[in-house]
Amino acid sequence: MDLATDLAATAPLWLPMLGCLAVLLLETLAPGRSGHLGALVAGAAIALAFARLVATAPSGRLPFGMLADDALGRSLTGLLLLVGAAVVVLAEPLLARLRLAHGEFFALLLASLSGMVLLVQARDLMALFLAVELLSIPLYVLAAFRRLSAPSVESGFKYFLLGAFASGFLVYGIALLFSTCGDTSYAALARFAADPARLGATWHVGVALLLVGLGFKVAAAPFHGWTPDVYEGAPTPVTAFMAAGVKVAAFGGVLRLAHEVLPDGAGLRAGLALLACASMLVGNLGALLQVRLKRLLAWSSIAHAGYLLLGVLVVVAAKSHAGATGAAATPLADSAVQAVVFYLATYALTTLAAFGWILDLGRESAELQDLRALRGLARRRPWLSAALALCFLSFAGVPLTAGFLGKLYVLKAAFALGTELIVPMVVLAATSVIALGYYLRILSTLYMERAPDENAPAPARLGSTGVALLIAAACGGVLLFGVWPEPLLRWLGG
Amino acid sequence: MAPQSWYLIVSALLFGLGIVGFVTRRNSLVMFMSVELMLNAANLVFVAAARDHVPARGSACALFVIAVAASEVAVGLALVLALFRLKKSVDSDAVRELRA
Amino acid sequence: MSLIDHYQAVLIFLLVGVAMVVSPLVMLRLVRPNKPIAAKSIAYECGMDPVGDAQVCFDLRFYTDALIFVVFEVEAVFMFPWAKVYRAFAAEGMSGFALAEGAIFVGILALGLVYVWAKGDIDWVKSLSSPRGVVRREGVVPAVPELEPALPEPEPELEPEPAARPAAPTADERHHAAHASHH
Repeated sequence: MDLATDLAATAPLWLPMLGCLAVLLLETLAPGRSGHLGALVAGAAIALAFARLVATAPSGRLPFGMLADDALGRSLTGLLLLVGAAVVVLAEPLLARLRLAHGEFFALLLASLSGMVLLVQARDLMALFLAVELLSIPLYVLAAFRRLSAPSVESGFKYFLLGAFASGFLVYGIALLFSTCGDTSYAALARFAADPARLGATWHVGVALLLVGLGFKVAAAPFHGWTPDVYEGAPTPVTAFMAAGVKVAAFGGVLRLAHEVLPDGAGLRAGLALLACASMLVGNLGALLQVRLKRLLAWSSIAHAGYLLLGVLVVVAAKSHAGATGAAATPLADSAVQAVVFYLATYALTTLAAFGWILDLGRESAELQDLRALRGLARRRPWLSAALALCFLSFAGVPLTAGFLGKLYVLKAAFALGTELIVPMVVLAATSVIALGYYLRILSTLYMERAPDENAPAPARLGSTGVALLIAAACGGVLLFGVWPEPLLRWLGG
Repeated sequence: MAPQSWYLIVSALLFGLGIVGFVTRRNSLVMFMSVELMLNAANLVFVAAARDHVPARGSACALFVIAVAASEVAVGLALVLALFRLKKSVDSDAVRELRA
Repeated sequence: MSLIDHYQAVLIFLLVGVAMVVSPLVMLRLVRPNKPIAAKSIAYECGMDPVGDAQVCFDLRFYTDALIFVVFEVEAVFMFPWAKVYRAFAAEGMSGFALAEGAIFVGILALGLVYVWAKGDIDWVKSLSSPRGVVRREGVVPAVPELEPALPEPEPELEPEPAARPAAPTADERHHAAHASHH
């Protein structure tokens, strides 16, 4: 029986869940006193899962018949576990400060994390659906975790309503695909889709609804409406988890679908291109108007969803690229997958640094999120200002930062297809210029403008060594991988 | 027995009704009921399609959807309660703290 | 075979069901003291006044109980297919595996129930009472005496203004905050 092998191969999936149960048990035994212990257990579970992940090589088998144990799943799982660990580091001091240090936070975090890991490994639509729900339901609660703070509860409520709405689309799409194909496994769906004559309206509507559902999760325009409000209202560590973790997990799921199931077609190409272009335009134009940090990052995350969707589009288009049929198309698609994964890694790294920064300077309150509060900060907090500047340069895709290479690899993969995807590529270039505009505006606020009161003391910090170290490490990563990406590429390549 | 397409049509109607309900109603509980309608439209497709394929598969999918919907109800109801404690209203228009 | 043979299981089930309801009633009739008062003859409706406007604002605690109930009730849906395939697993000599899976599932649910219990959320009196400011309509009988709203103390905001706070919190203050969260 290969039950033991399957269990061993999926340790990174169930170890966080086991940690979640352990934290709940702790909380049951000592109600209200499991705060720091919960963080410890969460950290230990994630570390164990990561150790198991690194210690074993992908087997290429299908654990339990519906999961993947391949390089893509492995690298994204590793990325997600790192994001989870970082969020534990971010959340612990804030929860202690707010006197909300309950174990539940970490139990919910671990449950959501195992949902994310499931999502990047799922090779069955039912597993995908369960993963999306396991990821989302704890996040609704986490967003509303400050239950006496109106913005936080409101953020959780909005996220919940629209998330539930989106899962309606997702599950109806899955049901339609099941009704036309008779199976939910990716292998069966791919076999079914290999003959284009069989794909009727039900299939196309099903795929469209599936993409709408996932589009909500990755915050792609025009399904982005919830993003700014939810990002702003949720506690900052939770926002970081949403921005970095959900983005990686949901794009992991979309990427696998695009790579293994969805056949190339004019309709799919048009749909993805539309989503990508709309996200890039809406995200960047929306960010131009923002005056508060978290909202600005929310709009920028919509724009990044657009850049990533271009990568997904390349994966789909590469399958039937003219002149490279059959086996020759695979390397093109593979390199596009690589590019998207690299982009996700750099985006997650930069996002963690940026939200860590917001947390460190006590920007949890709305008035300090105002961009005007950043005026002249560079004189008083030179290191922190440099860190934020680096984040924004990386978001904007300025050379020598990891964000630049992320964009470069996606564009390179798109260029390999010739001029087939010229429109979204042009939109990417154009909107990157817009993005540079608002990021540079913030840099000038930081460095060029003067604070209204020159003699006021420097803003207080959260004073958590963990958060400071995290910011430093993430910024170091952004710089290092910006000039020397090989180690990251090799790790992500599996 | 009724042909497959009839079930698809009924489920599409249910799904459409759910969307319309979600978009037009302002009471968060009714909005949530509309989402349940959408999920149950999917369940109808699962169960009806299961007849043509592997019956156990479709039923299993439907069971998962039911269980997940229940978890969503629990969390959703808890959030509505938390919101009601703060706002004294379940109207989604009352939720306007976060605006640009 | 007669119809009885086909349906004897159903018949037995029916009879046992009727007996389960009737026997306690008969037994109690024999044992209990008989002191009828007016309140006892009202239809029992979970402690609420059964007569009046149906559009009343229910006590919020009902919702807490309801949502806990919903989860446990619906998750039980998985027990039916599990029971259905158990024999097939047993035929392949995997009854231990099937049993373990069922036990894990029930164990996780039980942990959830114990958690809710330990937190006092199924305890009617201890759970949060309805919030301040909710106007109770006439005719609603509070099931328990009004409780002080058991909301925890408001969480302290992160210090919003640097001016109000000259420097970063000292190590001592942070230490204190960490401890305060633990009491």
